[in-house]
Amino acid sequence: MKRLRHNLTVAALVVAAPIAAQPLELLPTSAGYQPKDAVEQGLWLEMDEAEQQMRASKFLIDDPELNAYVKGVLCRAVGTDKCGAARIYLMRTPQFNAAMAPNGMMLVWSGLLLRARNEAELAAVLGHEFVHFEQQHSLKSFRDIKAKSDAITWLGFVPGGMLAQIGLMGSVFRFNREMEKQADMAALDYLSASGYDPMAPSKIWEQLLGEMDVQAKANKSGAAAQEASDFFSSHPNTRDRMEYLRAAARTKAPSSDDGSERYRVAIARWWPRLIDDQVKLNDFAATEFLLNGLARGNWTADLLYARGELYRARGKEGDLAKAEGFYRQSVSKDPALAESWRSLGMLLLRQGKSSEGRKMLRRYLDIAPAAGDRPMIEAMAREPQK
Amino acid sequence: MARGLGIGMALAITFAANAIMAQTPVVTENFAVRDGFAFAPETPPRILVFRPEIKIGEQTTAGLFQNNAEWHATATRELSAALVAMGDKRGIEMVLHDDQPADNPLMAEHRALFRLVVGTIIRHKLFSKDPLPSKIGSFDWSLGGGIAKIAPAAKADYGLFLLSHDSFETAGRRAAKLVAALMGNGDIAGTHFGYAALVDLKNGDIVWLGVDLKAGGDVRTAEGAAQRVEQLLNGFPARASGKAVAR
Amino acid sequence: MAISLLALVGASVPAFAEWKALVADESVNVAGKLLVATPEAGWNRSSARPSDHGERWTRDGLALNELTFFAAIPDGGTLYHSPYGATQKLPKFRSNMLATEIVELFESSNRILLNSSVFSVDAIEPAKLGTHEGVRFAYSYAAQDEGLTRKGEGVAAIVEGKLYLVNFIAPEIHYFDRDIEEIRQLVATLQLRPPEPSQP
Repeated sequence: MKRLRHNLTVAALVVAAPIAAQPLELLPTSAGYQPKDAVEQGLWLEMDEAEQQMRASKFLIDDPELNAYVKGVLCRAVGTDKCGAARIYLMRTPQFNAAMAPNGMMLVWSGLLLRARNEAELAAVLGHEFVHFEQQHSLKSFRDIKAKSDAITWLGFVPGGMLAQIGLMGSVFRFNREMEKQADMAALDYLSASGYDPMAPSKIWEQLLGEMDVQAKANKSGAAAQEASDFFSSHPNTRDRMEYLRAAARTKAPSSDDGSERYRVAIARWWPRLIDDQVKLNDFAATEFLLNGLARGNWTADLLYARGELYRARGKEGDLAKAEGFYRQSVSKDPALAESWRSLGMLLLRQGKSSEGRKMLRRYLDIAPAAGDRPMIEAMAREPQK
Repeated sequence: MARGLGIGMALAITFAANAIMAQTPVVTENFAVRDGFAFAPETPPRILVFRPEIKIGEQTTAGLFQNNAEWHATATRELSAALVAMGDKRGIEMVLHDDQPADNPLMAEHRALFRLVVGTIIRHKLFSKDPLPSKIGSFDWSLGGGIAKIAPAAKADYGLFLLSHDSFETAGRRAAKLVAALMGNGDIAGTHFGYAALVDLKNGDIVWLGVDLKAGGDVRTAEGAAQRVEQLLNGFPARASGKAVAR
Repeated sequence: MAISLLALVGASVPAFAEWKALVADESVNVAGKLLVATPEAGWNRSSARPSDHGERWTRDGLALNELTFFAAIPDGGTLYHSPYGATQKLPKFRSNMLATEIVELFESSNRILLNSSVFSVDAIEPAKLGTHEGVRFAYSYAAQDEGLTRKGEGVAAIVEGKLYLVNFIAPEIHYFDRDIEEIRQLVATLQLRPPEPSQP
């Protein structure tokens, strides 16, 4: 279950259905759109209530600047005339996911922000979700499930249940291929028309596929490995998607604007927390893959620190020595990174290099004198009484 | 059918308990009253009715729940009106309070705590499913004194929370159940339930909680809503108005 | 079901357990007789254990106050049982861990079990568990879909290479502050009875 939840549910709130031909009329993305019949009104009501809860959620990343940035990326991608209909909620949840509700509520998990390497990749996912909204995929799916006899209790948000429900959506992924493809293609048009690198969507899928692969190999053995391979055979979408997106991108005008520097700056303040969330999942292989993908040969002080944390937490034979190396590189690149000094000090103490370890801990306290763990670190950094 | 009997018995117990002004908590399958609780006799209590949590819709053949916005609006209106009317009848001043979680984070937090407390009481106290030994003979859960800060402007003595969940069945669903019953697949539980709770706004103490797992009354109508409120407020502390009180 | 009693009770409650009341002001053996605690009135002990080395108490219900004792977790052991079907592995305790690393172990284990990244350790300081040198840590977190903040405080020590830890969790509103001083008192008077070390 966790695995399903992990990577695959970009279009979570949507389930597959043959697309009924619809006459052109006011789209939900237009100003003043109101839900039409009882089914749609019911969905909107449910979503509006869920959204009220969402606004009070402890998981919201309540940073006006970051929210404005993400909204700005959506607006550039789909156009400022339309983007106003969507309300974005950034959720502190380390897995890769985004979801779109029929009333315009868009959820973006912080695991997506961590994994996107540039603005174009983020725009690709936001645009994709927006197409689901614009083309009323949720509503169509709901009608379709209603028509079929299917006991999926989607949208069963009582009294909260939002995250859990979205997690469950992974299990209906295989139903939604047509809508996914439709959303992928329309989002690619948006992306290209707004001048972003059209290769971005296939790249983000490529990265996810890689992460899923290493995770499967690392975590599974025996029966579990079989289960994992069953999973892949019933979910060929990711590989397919990556390929058709890449092929379609070649027909678009190439662009080198991926906004990687803008993206880096925009999420810089949150990045240490997001990578910390990922490291604390105790998921070594996926995190190591992710870090390599983010670094692409250019290991920054932050990335080195995160990698040190990952190796130190696993603590297998040789890991501590590697972690020590990462921390040392990290502090040499950025001597102001307090956490690297802290971890390096702890690591040295653990390995019996006490005197140097205590020195490192004192460096940490010098840089971060108001740290909440000061009393403990001070005690650890104190020279033993002779 | 069984419901009628259960509630009748519970009512009988309440009346008896109120008559003797019991100092031990009254706890039945359906409701519980805090140890020795009674409204102050002098002035009519002022009760703030928090925005009720209402969910109402249809259960389709497949078991999928479909919200109905129109019913929701009607039920919200009728249940609120029924609560106010019930208050009038009992000499209690009911004041409707419209709060949305995002407008009032403190309210949202207390609602969240309230949900936990209700879940805990249902699990550990009512229905005797998983009783906590230390709670035998007592009903003393609280939300704490911080609740005084959630709506001070209302100057209310108590707060009333209400939840009402109704899932009506489509014809197809009823037919499917009938078939299932014939094939020996037994009961597919009906889904009309709700709870209501009275909280002291000075100290957060839950003074009364009523739960109805098989609620009656079609809340889409005025009469039905009145019936639902009457049933949900089963065991609701009576006001010791001058006359009725044993002197 | 979209609508169910489960929604009322909350999906996060563990399987039903049997409860036993604890007698106030009377010493009681905890977690495999390796700890002795003297509770005040109103505590209940659950038969459902967080792990082979642990034990859980509550006063008003686990959602409202949870006091957990762990005793003598050996090198390589985990704090909690892994939940059924979990793919994420819980981190392992190592005998040579530093005080701060015990806190990291605790944090990571709980983040995984709670499926929550809204978890922050707010303070770490030296403290005693019974008569043993250890660490006290204070933290706060939010569980999925609950909409409120919980606070927690733990005290841990490694004795004879094994981990001992007492942890208290309650909603930030009302419940944490109401009981935390009592818990600190209980921890201060806790006796550890580690298994006899082999004499050299």
